[in-house]
Amino acid sequence: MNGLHIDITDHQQSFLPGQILSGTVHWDNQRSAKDASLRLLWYTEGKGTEDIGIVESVEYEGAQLSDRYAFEFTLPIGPYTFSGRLISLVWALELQVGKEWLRHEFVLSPTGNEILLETSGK
Amino acid sequence: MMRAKDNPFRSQRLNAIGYISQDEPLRAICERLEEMKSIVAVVGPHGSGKSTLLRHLQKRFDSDGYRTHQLFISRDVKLPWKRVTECVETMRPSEVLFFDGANHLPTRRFCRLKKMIRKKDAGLVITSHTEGLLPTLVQCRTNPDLLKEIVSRLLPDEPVESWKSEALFHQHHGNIRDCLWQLYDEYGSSSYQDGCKSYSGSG
Repeated sequence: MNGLHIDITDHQQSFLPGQILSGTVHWDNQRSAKDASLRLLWYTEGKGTEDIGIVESVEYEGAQLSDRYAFEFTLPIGPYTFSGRLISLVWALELQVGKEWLRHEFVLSPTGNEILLETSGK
Repeated sequence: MMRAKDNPFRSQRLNAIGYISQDEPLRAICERLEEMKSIVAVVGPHGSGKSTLLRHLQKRFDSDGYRTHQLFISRDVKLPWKRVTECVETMRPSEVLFFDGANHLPTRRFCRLKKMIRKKDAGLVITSHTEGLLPTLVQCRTNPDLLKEIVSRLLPDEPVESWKSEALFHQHHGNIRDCLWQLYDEYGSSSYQDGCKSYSGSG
């Protein structure tokens, strides 16, 4: 690990649309705290070009080499976390401190689970 | 069904491997690019790594502090000429335009682009299937060993049999991208894994 941490309140892994996602980020003994920021984003993975949507971003101005911040985001109503054979949509928090980064995935869905797109007949 | 995000042949993992240079170190290619005043073509057939190398070169220029621009055109993706001229109009001397698929521009328009870039004293790096549009920086080539190397990086725990990569390579006439997409489809039919993950990195 690179000394970066994202702790979500109650270790919650899945969220409903519109729900609050909160927690703390902290880092220790970094070489640089330049451009420290936390992003709420979704991105696609699979066969083809990656798509990405940055929903909200918080810049930590004046951050120290070891530091800690609380965060709170109100999640949007979509898009939902889903996976098929050709494409997955993943929600994540991404913490960047200097050149180091950490991405923590979570699920956003009305059922609380990732939506699976099964191919009929397979 | 395997979820797309678990497939070992997904685009993000292929992009992370980057361009594997077979004949010379990537550093030598970058040095030659500067010697050639950044007006060059990366040449090669379909699926030979031209776009991958172009992305690598652009990243390198970005990290060296140059301002770069990016355009893409293909048989299936049209690009209005106005978008090209608008892009070049904003360019300043020593900035570089990385134009993937520039050989799909009509010849007359490509000549016009070249003239505009020279007038700006800027750079132009293109990909092309054929030589002759600009001086050639690199001729991208493929072979079964290259395919085997890429697959072994994507599946480090699985032995890659030479005959299999050779057969796949010939089946797709040396188009490595198509070989990897076939492997994506084959692996996509296998098991499902659950759970959220954390990833970290540097740079």
